[in-house]
Amino acid sequence: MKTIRVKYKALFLIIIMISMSCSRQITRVATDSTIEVSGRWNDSDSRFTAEDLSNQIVNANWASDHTIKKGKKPVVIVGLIRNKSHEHIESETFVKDIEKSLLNTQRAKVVQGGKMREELRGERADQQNNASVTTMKKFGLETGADYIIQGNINSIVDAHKRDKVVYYQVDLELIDIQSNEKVWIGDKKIKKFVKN
Amino acid sequence: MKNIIIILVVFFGYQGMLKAQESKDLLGLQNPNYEVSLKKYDSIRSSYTLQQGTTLQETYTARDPIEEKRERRAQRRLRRHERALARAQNPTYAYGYDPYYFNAYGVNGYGYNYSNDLSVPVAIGLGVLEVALWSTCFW
Repeated sequence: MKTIRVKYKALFLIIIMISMSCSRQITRVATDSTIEVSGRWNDSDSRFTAEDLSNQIVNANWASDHTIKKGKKPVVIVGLIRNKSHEHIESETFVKDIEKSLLNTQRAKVVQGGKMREELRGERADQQNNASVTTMKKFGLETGADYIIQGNINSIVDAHKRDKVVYYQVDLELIDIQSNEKVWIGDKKIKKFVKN
Repeated sequence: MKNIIIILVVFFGYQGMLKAQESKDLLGLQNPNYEVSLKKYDSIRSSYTLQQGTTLQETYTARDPIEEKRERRAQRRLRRHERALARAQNPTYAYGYDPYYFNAYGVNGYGYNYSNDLSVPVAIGLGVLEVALWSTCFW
Protein backbone atom coordinates (compact mmCIF):
# COMPACT_ATOMS: atom_id res chain seq x y z
CA MET A 1 0.00 0.00 0.00
CA LYS A 2 2.78 2.30 1.04
CA THR A 3 4.79 1.52 -2.10
CA ILE A 4 1.78 2.31 -4.31
CA ARG A 5 1.40 5.73 -2.61
CA VAL A 6 5.10 6.43 -3.13
CA LYS A 7 4.80 5.45 -6.77
CA TYR A 8 1.84 7.80 -7.26
CA LYS A 9 3.72 10.63 -5.60
CA ALA A 10 6.73 9.99 -7.83
CA LEU A 11 4.52 9.91 -10.93
CA PHE A 12 2.81 13.15 -9.86
CA LEU A 13 6.17 14.82 -9.31
CA ILE A 14 7.45 13.69 -12.73
CA ILE A 15 4.31 15.05 -14.47
CA ILE A 16 4.67 18.41 -12.69
CA MET A 17 8.38 18.60 -13.55
CA ILE A 18 7.75 17.85 -17.22
CA SER A 19 4.86 20.31 -17.49
CA MET A 20 6.80 23.07 -15.72
CA SER A 21 10.01 22.55 -17.68
CA CYS A 22 8.31 23.23 -21.02
CA SER A 23 5.52 25.62 -19.96
CA ARG A 24 5.15 28.79 -22.00
CA GLN A 25 3.79 32.17 -21.01
CA ILE A 26 2.38 34.34 -23.76
CA THR A 27 1.50 38.01 -23.35
CA ARG A 28 0.16 40.30 -26.06
CA VAL A 29 2.11 43.55 -26.35
CA ALA A 30 1.75 46.71 -28.42
CA THR A 31 3.37 46.43 -31.86
CA ASP A 32 5.23 49.70 -31.26
CA SER A 33 6.79 48.53 -28.00
CA THR A 34 10.52 47.90 -28.00
CA ILE A 35 11.57 44.53 -26.60
CA GLU A 36 15.18 43.45 -26.90
CA VAL A 37 15.72 39.71 -26.45
CA SER A 38 18.75 38.46 -28.33
CA GLY A 39 20.38 41.65 -29.58
CA ARG A 40 19.80 40.63 -33.19
CA TRP A 41 17.89 42.62 -35.82
CA ASN A 42 14.29 42.76 -34.66
CA ASP A 43 10.92 44.40 -35.32
CA SER A 44 11.93 47.61 -33.52
CA ASP A 45 14.95 48.04 -35.79
CA SER A 46 12.74 47.53 -38.81
CA ARG A 47 10.19 50.03 -37.50
CA PHE A 48 12.79 52.71 -36.73
CA THR A 49 14.32 52.19 -40.18
CA ALA A 50 10.93 52.49 -41.84
CA GLU A 51 10.02 55.67 -39.95
CA ASP A 52 13.37 57.34 -40.58
CA LEU A 53 13.67 56.45 -44.26
CA SER A 54 10.02 57.31 -44.94
CA ASN A 55 10.56 60.79 -43.49
CA GLN A 56 13.72 61.23 -45.54
CA ILE A 57 12.23 60.16 -48.86
CA VAL A 58 9.02 62.16 -48.41
CA ASN A 59 10.76 65.35 -47.32
CA ALA A 60 13.45 65.36 -50.03
CA ASN A 61 13.14 67.56 -53.12
CA TRP A 62 13.28 64.91 -55.83
CA ALA A 63 9.50 64.52 -56.14
CA SER A 64 8.75 68.24 -56.40
CA ASP A 65 11.66 68.69 -58.84
CA HIS A 66 10.19 65.95 -61.04
CA THR A 67 6.69 67.41 -60.85
CA ILE A 68 7.96 70.87 -61.86
CA LYS A 69 10.10 69.47 -64.69
CA LYS A 70 7.67 66.92 -66.15
CA GLY A 71 4.33 68.34 -65.03
CA LYS A 72 3.21 65.08 -63.41
CA LYS A 73 3.87 63.02 -60.32
CA PRO A 74 6.88 60.67 -60.39
CA VAL A 75 6.31 56.93 -60.64
CA VAL A 76 8.41 54.69 -58.40
CA ILE A 77 9.12 50.95 -58.45
CA VAL A 78 10.89 48.98 -55.73
CA GLY A 79 13.92 47.08 -56.98
CA LEU A 80 16.22 44.59 -55.31
CA ILE A 81 17.57 45.11 -51.80
CA ARG A 82 20.81 43.30 -51.00
CA ASN A 83 21.33 42.06 -47.47
CA LYS A 84 25.09 41.94 -46.99
CA SER A 85 24.92 41.86 -43.20
CA HIS A 86 25.68 38.89 -40.92
CA GLU A 87 21.99 38.23 -40.16
CA HIS A 88 18.94 37.25 -42.15
CA ILE A 89 17.02 40.50 -42.64
CA GLU A 90 13.87 40.83 -44.68
CA SER A 91 13.69 44.32 -46.16
CA GLU A 92 10.02 44.05 -47.10
CA THR A 93 9.05 44.94 -43.53
CA PHE A 94 10.37 48.48 -43.90
CA VAL A 95 10.19 48.96 -47.67
CA LYS A 96 6.42 48.48 -47.58
CA ASP A 97 6.18 51.33 -45.04
CA ILE A 98 8.19 53.56 -47.37
CA GLU A 99 5.86 52.75 -50.28
CA LYS A 100 2.90 53.47 -48.02
CA SER A 101 4.27 56.86 -46.97
CA LEU A 102 4.86 57.82 -50.63
CA LEU A 103 1.27 56.96 -51.47
CA ASN A 104 -0.29 58.50 -48.36
CA THR A 105 1.53 61.81 -48.80
CA GLN A 106 0.71 61.73 -52.55
CA ARG A 107 4.30 62.60 -53.38
CA ALA A 108 4.61 59.83 -55.96
CA LYS A 109 2.85 56.94 -57.63
CA VAL A 110 4.08 53.43 -56.92
CA VAL A 111 3.87 50.58 -59.44
CA GLN A 112 4.04 46.88 -58.79
CA GLY A 113 7.14 44.90 -59.74
CA GLY A 114 8.58 41.41 -59.41
CA LYS A 115 6.51 38.24 -59.14
CA MET A 116 3.37 40.11 -58.19
CA ARG A 117 3.51 42.00 -61.48
CA GLU A 118 3.77 38.66 -63.28
CA GLU A 119 0.63 37.61 -61.43
CA LEU A 120 -1.13 40.76 -62.63
CA ARG A 121 -0.14 40.04 -66.21
CA GLY A 122 -1.38 36.51 -65.82
CA GLU A 123 -4.73 37.79 -64.61
CA ARG A 124 -4.88 40.22 -67.55
CA ALA A 125 -4.14 37.37 -69.94
CA ASP A 126 -6.91 35.33 -68.33
CA GLN A 127 -9.34 38.20 -68.80
CA GLN A 128 -8.71 38.16 -72.56
CA ASN A 129 -10.59 34.85 -72.73
CA ASN A 130 -12.94 34.96 -69.78
CA ALA A 131 -14.00 38.56 -69.00
CA SER A 132 -16.68 40.51 -70.83
CA VAL A 133 -15.37 42.87 -73.53
CA THR A 134 -16.38 45.98 -71.57
CA THR A 135 -14.52 44.96 -68.40
CA MET A 136 -11.51 43.28 -70.02
CA LYS A 137 -8.19 45.06 -69.29
CA LYS A 138 -5.79 45.57 -72.16
CA PHE A 139 -2.11 44.78 -72.51
CA GLY A 140 0.46 47.47 -73.17
CA LEU A 141 -1.11 50.17 -71.02
CA GLU A 142 0.94 49.78 -67.83
CA THR A 143 2.48 52.86 -66.24
CA GLY A 144 6.25 52.85 -66.70
CA ALA A 145 8.29 53.75 -63.63
CA ASP A 146 10.46 56.88 -63.63
CA TYR A 147 12.52 55.87 -60.59
CA ILE A 148 13.66 52.64 -58.96
CA ILE A 149 14.47 52.12 -55.28
CA GLN A 150 17.57 50.00 -54.73
CA GLY A 151 19.40 49.36 -51.51
CA ASN A 152 21.93 47.58 -49.35
CA ILE A 153 22.00 46.40 -45.76
CA ASN A 154 25.45 46.16 -44.21
CA SER A 155 26.70 45.28 -40.76
CA ILE A 156 29.88 45.34 -38.71
CA VAL A 157 30.32 43.06 -35.68
CA ASP A 158 32.94 43.60 -33.02
CA ALA A 159 32.90 40.90 -30.34
CA HIS A 160 35.25 40.20 -27.48
CA LYS A 161 34.62 37.61 -24.76
CA ARG A 162 31.05 38.30 -23.60
CA ASP A 163 30.64 41.79 -25.10
CA LYS A 164 29.53 42.61 -28.60
CA VAL A 165 28.95 45.76 -30.61
CA VAL A 166 26.79 45.40 -33.71
CA TYR A 167 26.40 48.16 -36.26
CA TYR A 168 23.80 48.07 -39.03
CA GLN A 169 23.58 50.45 -41.94
CA VAL A 170 20.62 50.45 -44.30
CA ASP A 171 21.19 52.48 -47.49
CA LEU A 172 18.43 53.16 -49.96
CA GLU A 173 18.85 54.97 -53.25
CA LEU A 174 16.34 56.36 -55.70
CA ILE A 175 17.61 56.24 -59.25
CA ASP A 176 16.29 57.78 -62.46
CA ILE A 177 15.70 54.78 -64.74
CA GLN A 178 16.30 56.81 -67.91
CA SER A 179 19.55 58.49 -66.94
CA ASN A 180 20.88 56.31 -64.03
CA GLU A 181 21.14 59.48 -61.95
CA LYS A 182 20.77 59.07 -58.21
CA VAL A 183 18.19 61.61 -57.16
CA TRP A 184 17.98 60.64 -53.48
CA ILE A 185 20.08 58.65 -51.01
CA GLY A 186 18.78 57.81 -47.57
CA ASP A 187 20.33 55.84 -44.75
CA LYS A 188 19.58 54.51 -41.31
CA LYS A 189 22.32 53.60 -38.87
CA ILE A 190 21.75 51.43 -35.81
CA LYS A 191 24.34 50.56 -33.19
CA LYS A 192 23.82 48.03 -30.40
CA PHE A 193 25.92 47.02 -27.45
CA VAL A 194 25.19 43.45 -26.36
CA LYS A 195 26.47 42.20 -23.01
CA ASN A 196 26.08 38.45 -22.50
CA MET B 1 27.44 58.42 -119.28
CA LYS B 2 24.18 60.14 -118.42
CA ASN B 3 22.72 56.81 -117.27
CA ILE B 4 25.66 56.16 -114.97
CA ILE B 5 25.24 59.59 -113.38
CA ILE B 6 21.49 58.99 -112.90
CA ILE B 7 22.14 55.57 -111.33
CA LEU B 8 24.74 57.05 -108.96
CA VAL B 9 22.39 59.92 -107.98
CA VAL B 10 19.54 57.46 -107.34
CA PHE B 11 21.84 55.13 -105.34
CA PHE B 12 23.32 57.86 -103.12
CA GLY B 13 19.89 59.46 -102.76
CA TYR B 14 18.47 56.15 -101.52
CA GLN B 15 21.40 55.70 -99.11
CA GLY B 16 20.80 59.21 -97.80
CA MET B 17 17.12 58.46 -97.28
CA LEU B 18 17.99 55.32 -95.29
CA LYS B 19 20.41 57.29 -93.12
CA ALA B 20 17.79 59.96 -92.53
CA GLN B 21 15.26 57.27 -91.56
CA GLU B 22 17.70 55.78 -89.06
CA SER B 23 18.47 59.13 -87.47
CA LYS B 24 14.72 59.85 -87.21
CA ASP B 25 14.30 56.82 -84.87
CA LEU B 26 16.96 58.13 -82.52
CA LEU B 27 15.89 60.54 -79.84
CA GLY B 28 18.10 63.61 -79.37
CA LEU B 29 21.50 62.42 -78.21
CA GLN B 30 20.58 58.73 -78.18
CA ASN B 31 23.44 56.41 -78.91
CA PRO B 32 23.01 54.88 -82.41
CA ASN B 33 24.26 51.53 -81.04
CA TYR B 34 21.51 51.27 -78.44
CA GLU B 35 20.07 48.17 -80.08
CA VAL B 36 23.15 46.12 -79.12
CA SER B 37 22.42 46.76 -75.46
CA LEU B 38 18.67 46.30 -75.95
CA LYS B 39 19.20 42.85 -77.47
CA LYS B 40 21.57 41.85 -74.66
CA TYR B 41 19.26 42.83 -71.80
CA ASP B 42 16.00 41.80 -73.48
CA SER B 43 17.01 38.15 -73.25
CA ILE B 44 17.93 38.27 -69.54
CA ARG B 45 15.45 40.81 -68.20
CA SER B 46 13.26 38.32 -66.31
CA SER B 47 16.19 37.28 -64.11
CA TYR B 48 16.31 40.87 -62.84
CA THR B 49 12.68 41.93 -62.82
CA LEU B 50 11.40 38.85 -60.98
CA GLN B 51 13.59 39.76 -57.99
CA GLN B 52 12.14 43.26 -57.69
CA GLY B 53 10.82 44.04 -54.23
CA THR B 54 12.69 41.13 -52.65
CA THR B 55 15.80 40.85 -50.49
CA LEU B 56 18.81 39.05 -51.84
CA GLN B 57 20.48 37.36 -48.87
CA GLU B 58 24.24 37.70 -49.26
CA THR B 59 24.99 37.29 -45.56
CA TYR B 60 28.38 36.55 -44.06
CA THR B 61 29.30 34.76 -40.85
CA ALA B 62 30.54 37.11 -38.19
CA ARG B 63 33.05 35.92 -35.59
CA ASP B 64 31.32 35.78 -32.23
CA PRO B 65 32.89 33.65 -29.44
CA ILE B 66 29.64 33.32 -27.46
CA GLU B 67 27.65 32.21 -30.50
CA GLU B 68 30.36 29.74 -31.47
CA LYS B 69 30.26 28.27 -27.96
CA ARG B 70 26.47 27.95 -28.11
CA GLU B 71 26.67 26.25 -31.48
CA ARG B 72 29.26 23.76 -30.23
CA ARG B 73 27.04 22.97 -27.24
CA ALA B 74 23.99 22.48 -29.46
CA GLN B 75 25.91 20.15 -31.75
CA ARG B 76 27.09 18.14 -28.75
CA ARG B 77 23.50 17.79 -27.50
CA LEU B 78 22.29 16.76 -30.92
CA ARG B 79 25.03 14.14 -31.16
CA ARG B 80 24.06 12.71 -27.78
CA HIS B 81 20.40 12.71 -28.72
CA GLU B 82 21.08 10.88 -31.98
CA ARG B 83 23.15 8.33 -30.14
CA ALA B 84 20.38 7.80 -27.58
CA LEU B 85 17.86 7.36 -30.38
CA ALA B 86 20.06 4.80 -32.09
CA ARG B 87 20.47 2.98 -28.78
CA ALA B 88 16.72 2.94 -28.16
CA GLN B 89 15.91 1.68 -31.63
CA ASN B 90 18.61 -0.96 -31.71
CA PRO B 91 19.35 -2.70 -28.35
CA THR B 92 22.40 -4.40 -29.79
CA TYR B 93 23.76 -1.02 -30.82
CA ALA B 94 27.40 -1.35 -31.62
CA TYR B 95 29.34 1.58 -30.29
CA GLY B 96 31.59 3.08 -32.86
CA TYR B 97 34.84 4.72 -32.01
CA ASP B 98 34.07 8.17 -30.65
CA PRO B 99 37.08 9.79 -28.99
CA TYR B 100 34.94 12.68 -27.81
CA TYR B 101 32.43 10.61 -25.87
CA PHE B 102 34.28 7.51 -24.64
CA ASN B 103 37.48 7.37 -22.73
CA ALA B 104 40.14 4.73 -23.15
CA TYR B 105 38.35 2.29 -20.79
CA GLY B 106 35.05 2.20 -22.68
CA VAL B 107 33.19 4.07 -19.95
CA ASN B 108 30.95 6.85 -21.12
CA GLY B 109 30.32 10.31 -19.64
CA TYR B 110 27.46 9.11 -17.44
CA GLY B 111 29.68 6.66 -15.58
CA TYR B 112 27.90 3.53 -16.87
CA ASN B 113 29.72 0.63 -18.36
CA TYR B 114 27.70 -0.97 -21.13
CA SER B 115 30.08 -3.85 -21.68
CA ASN B 116 28.49 -6.16 -19.05
CA ASP B 117 25.18 -8.04 -19.30
CA LEU B 118 23.07 -5.18 -17.92
CA SER B 119 24.01 -2.97 -20.84
CA VAL B 120 20.94 -3.67 -22.99
CA PRO B 121 18.14 -2.81 -20.48
CA VAL B 122 20.09 0.19 -19.14
CA ALA B 123 20.70 1.51 -22.66
CA ILE B 124 17.04 1.05 -23.64
CA GLY B 125 15.87 2.74 -20.45
CA LEU B 126 18.15 5.72 -20.85
CA GLY B 127 17.33 6.04 -24.54
CA VAL B 128 13.57 5.91 -23.97
CA LEU B 129 13.80 8.42 -21.11
CA GLU B 130 15.83 10.85 -23.21
CA VAL B 131 13.48 10.51 -26.19
CA ALA B 132 10.48 11.08 -23.89
CA LEU B 133 12.02 14.21 -22.37
CA TRP B 134 12.91 15.57 -25.81
CA SER B 135 9.48 14.88 -27.24
CA THR B 136 7.72 16.73 -24.36
CA CYS B 137 9.51 19.90 -25.39
CA PHE B 138 7.88 19.78 -28.85
CA TRP B 139 4.29 19.45 -27.57
